[in-house]
Amino acid sequence: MKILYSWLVEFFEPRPGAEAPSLQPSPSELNLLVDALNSLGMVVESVERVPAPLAGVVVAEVAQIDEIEGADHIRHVLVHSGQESPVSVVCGATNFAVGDRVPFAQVGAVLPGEFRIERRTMMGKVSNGMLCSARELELSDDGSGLMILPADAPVGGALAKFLGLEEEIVIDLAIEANRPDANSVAGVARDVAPTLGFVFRSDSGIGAQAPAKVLRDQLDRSSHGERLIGEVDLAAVSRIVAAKFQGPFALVDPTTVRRRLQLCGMRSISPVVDASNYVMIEMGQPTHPYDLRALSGSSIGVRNARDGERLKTLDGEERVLQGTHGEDVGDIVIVDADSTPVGLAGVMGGDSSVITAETTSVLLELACFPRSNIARTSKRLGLRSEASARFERGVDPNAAEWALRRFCELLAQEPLAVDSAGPRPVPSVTVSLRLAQIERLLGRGFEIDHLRRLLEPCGFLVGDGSDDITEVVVPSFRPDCTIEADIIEEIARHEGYRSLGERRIQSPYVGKLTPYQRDLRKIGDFLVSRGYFELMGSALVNDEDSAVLGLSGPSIRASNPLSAEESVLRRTLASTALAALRFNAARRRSEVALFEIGEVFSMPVGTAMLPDETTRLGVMTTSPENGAAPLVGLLADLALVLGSLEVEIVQPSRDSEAIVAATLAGLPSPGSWPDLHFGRSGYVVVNGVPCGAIGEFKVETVRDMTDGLIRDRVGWLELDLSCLGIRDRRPHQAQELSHFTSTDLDLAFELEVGVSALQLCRTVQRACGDLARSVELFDVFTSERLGPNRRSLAVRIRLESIESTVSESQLAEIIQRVEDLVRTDLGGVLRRS
Amino acid sequence: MAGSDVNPGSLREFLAALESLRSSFDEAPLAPEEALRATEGRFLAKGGEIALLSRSLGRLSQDDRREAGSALQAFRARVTETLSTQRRYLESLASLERERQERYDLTEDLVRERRAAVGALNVVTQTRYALEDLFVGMGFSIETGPEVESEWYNFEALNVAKYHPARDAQDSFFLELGEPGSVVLRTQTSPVQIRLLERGVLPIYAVIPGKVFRRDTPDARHTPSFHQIEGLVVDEHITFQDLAGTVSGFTKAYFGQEISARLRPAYFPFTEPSAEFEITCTICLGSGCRTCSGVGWIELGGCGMVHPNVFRSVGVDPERWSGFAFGFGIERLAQMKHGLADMRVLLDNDLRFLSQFRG
Ligand SMILES: [Zn+2]
Repeated sequence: MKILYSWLVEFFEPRPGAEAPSLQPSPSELNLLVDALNSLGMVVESVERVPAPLAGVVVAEVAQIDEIEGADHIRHVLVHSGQESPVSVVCGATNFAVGDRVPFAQVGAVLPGEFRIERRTMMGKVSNGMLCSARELELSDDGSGLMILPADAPVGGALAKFLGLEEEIVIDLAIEANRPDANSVAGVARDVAPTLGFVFRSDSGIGAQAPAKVLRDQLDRSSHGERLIGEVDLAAVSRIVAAKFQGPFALVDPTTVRRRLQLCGMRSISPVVDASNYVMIEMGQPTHPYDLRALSGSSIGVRNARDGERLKTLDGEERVLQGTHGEDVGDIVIVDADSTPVGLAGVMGGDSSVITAETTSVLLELACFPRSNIARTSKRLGLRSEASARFERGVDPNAAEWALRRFCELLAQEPLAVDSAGPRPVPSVTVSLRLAQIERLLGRGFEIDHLRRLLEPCGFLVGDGSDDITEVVVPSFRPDCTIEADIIEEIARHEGYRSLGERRIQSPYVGKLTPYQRDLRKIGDFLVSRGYFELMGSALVNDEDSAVLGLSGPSIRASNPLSAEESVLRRTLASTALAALRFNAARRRSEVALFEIGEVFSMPVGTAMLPDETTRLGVMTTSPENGAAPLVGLLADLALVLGSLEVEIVQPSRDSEAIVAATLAGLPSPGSWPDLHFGRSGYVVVNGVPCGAIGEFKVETVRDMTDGLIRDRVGWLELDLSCLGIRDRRPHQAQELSHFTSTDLDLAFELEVGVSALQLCRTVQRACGDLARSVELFDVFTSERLGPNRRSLAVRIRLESIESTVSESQLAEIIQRVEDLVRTDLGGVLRRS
Repeated sequence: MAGSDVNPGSLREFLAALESLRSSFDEAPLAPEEALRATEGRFLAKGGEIALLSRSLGRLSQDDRREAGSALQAFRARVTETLSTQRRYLESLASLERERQERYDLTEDLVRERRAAVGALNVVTQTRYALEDLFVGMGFSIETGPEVESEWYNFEALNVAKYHPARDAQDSFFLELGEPGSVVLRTQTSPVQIRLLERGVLPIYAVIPGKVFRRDTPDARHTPSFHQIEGLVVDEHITFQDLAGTVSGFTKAYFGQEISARLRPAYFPFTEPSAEFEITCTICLGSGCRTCSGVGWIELGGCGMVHPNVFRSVGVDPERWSGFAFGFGIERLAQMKHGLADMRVLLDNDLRFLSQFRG
């Protein structure tokens, strides 16, 4: 919210014997104010010095007026403007005479609307500038002739200075949602005055001396003169005041009002509307003026809107209204005596009763509407006005009289009638404050006198109370203060957060990562050391990816996505990894190694409300010929790094769709794993539990997801990290080392291609028993001689015993056992060289 | 050749013969390797010149023999030393020559195409780990919670009622699950506070890092998803002073001694009193610059004392327990530390960006 320094200080009164606030603050005085506002939580976003307007426009005295031959509408005028000789101007207005003082825009001046004054020649006469109307200077709406200035206006002097238009300091404040009072000049002044050493004055401001004398009397009676308020639903408005005024209307000080409104970002419209807006900015009380002639029955009422009711608001839009249904609150309307809506309460007035140039009598409405209704209406209709913003946060229900008085002062008007409905004053909220609780929350105690000094200047009343507990009466403009903690925040705020002191906490716990958290860090460090970069994927992805990746079943959709590209929750990390691949390929970086540890989501399980959410590891790499191979090695090493993880890969054999289905069913969240290359993929089984997929993306998937930019094969590993929890975390126990030399035994077998290397090694290991320290594959080959469905696998067995070297006879026995077991279990044949 | 036919019978003759042997050694060739070997044979071999001369020692008187013997011994020592020095010299020459042949430009592999076998954690993860470590050092545990939350955890339990303006301020992504508006991508990590309090293990000293979502069109300062880290301390006798001390201690530990923190009033529905915390601008160290709009301070995050309604919503007695919470954006810290001009770079996973953060 923008406020003006000059406006703010009108509400500051010096303490007895102290100095009045400076009207032209020095930078250090301004800094004091900025610091005070910040430390109270009214954050200063910017401070701007706006120079006085109308540079180059001076006061001139008309010296001579001559007709121009052949010209009907213009005359040649000589004016004194402070220079040695009179200046020649051509002028079209006629409402002035020799000796009058008028505004003179000199050559080079720029008038409102970026109108630059230049030297011109008209009908042979030189015009060195322009004599101006008030409208041309945007000082009022009067464009009927030149603005005639008082006879004491100094000739040659700057017009702005004469009119009191000085440089202004505009302060832009960010006001928190819980501070409705601070959405007004007076509210800010009230809060900040004590910090700066001033007393807040409530009766200040321009027009305060205007002849509006009788208001208090009028308002003390429930009604004065005729009735202006008809049927009122007090559930729809807690208090409403209406006042009737008779034109003509003119602002007491239009120059100041218009300039202030303009600097606060509002347009000047008419004296009545300007006065209404001025009061809103100054006091925080929105008001609405109606053209009384347009109100049937010359009165207003308030009720809840009916479903489907229509109203044309003053911006020309036809609005369809909604009623209240239980907790689902609807719109509130202002109606005329026929119950026809004439305004959307708290948001925008109706088009039919809008104030025009022809308006002669006005009904001004000052009300306090329920916050939730206004918030709902304004949100539902996408219609946010200065008024609705204030009602949403809460308007002081007791401010109407004060605001009405200011409205009268600004226009020097006395209301012909005043009417009201609803209780006045609205009952205050009282909060019990335990002094011990202040210390318990803030860490520091406060004496009751100290509390009074802090709270009472801001409108709170601190009761006498005992030493332990006191009652605090909350002012009606602070609807946010309802409980003890709120009052304690007020105490802290006015004492100053920075002066409350600091203390170091002492946690009773020893801080450390959980085993799972350590695992996640290990995984990251391991992959980084292997050249992988960590990506951060979005949880929201394109639903079209689901089909490309071959995911079955429906996706969980966002009900209000920003775009189709990010509209469903991801079920696999593959979509974001492939998006990163595409992004980098488009930047000529097509060899990538990426990983992510992130959340994936699938449909809620059973009666759960929330989706099934799991953390997965996704690893992707590109490789010219075989994308899966580097990842299998990586997975094996990762299992070693993490420890106690036994990793198996179950790969469907060439013709066993059934095995695929069976394994898939065993995986967590079926339907959330991408379809991979049939011959080069498998399911990862960790410590006997299926928990992921590994392999190579289908060539078509890569083509579709990366716009055909990738020629390489793309390997993919995706693991559900809950598998990290299923292992034995007891520390590894060191094994005794043998003192005897080990023996290596190389054996080659002919096997069906469906038999995996892992199966072979496992079988060999089983045959050798404890004697085999390791069984590793060292050669694979196929040949015509072996036939199309067979291949040769060679393994190296390292044999070692703790008791002795392995003897020749043991060796022969082992070879026999291995040969037998491979033949019976796997159908393999030992190759003898 | 000079001494071989000499057979000295007197000391004088012996010394003359030795002198002649000396000069012939001085002229003998010591390189290349074959010549060195020949010289060695000629002087030091069993039948070499020195051995021959030593045979004539027996013909001298005892006194003369001693003098002549020690002169011959000195000469023999010099020859041995000279030859061995020369051998080492020749060997090193040969080795140098071989190594010259085997020359390898070590910078080739410093700059070889696609050399790098080292990746990097995302800069956000690096920042998160640094923060986690710091709080772990202060005796905090690290806690996490789901990214998709019910409206109750994300708003209601945090004292943000149905039509509370704070719900608009954080425009949320809702999901098509259950009643409309009942399931949301969490807009803050604070629902994990509720889950921790519900678990009921008090006191709590925890930090909660995690991904959060706001329905903001991406721009230089906002992305629809980002990370927060949030702290929650609940214990008996926790006060605002503890909050201020923790924020200030963390700031100095993370940013350095020259950076301090300060609190100013703010509003959050789930804390009361609430505060915003600012730190000394890390660019200008407080003197004022463009980054801090000339004020010398940068807004970092929000904090406050846990609102009694939050305690009540999970059945914790606010008369016995008190606590504070604080939170801020991890990307924002990474941005300050690494000078990221545009946050959107974090969405692209551009390797040109990721590979800048290996160290
Ligand atoms: Zn700075």
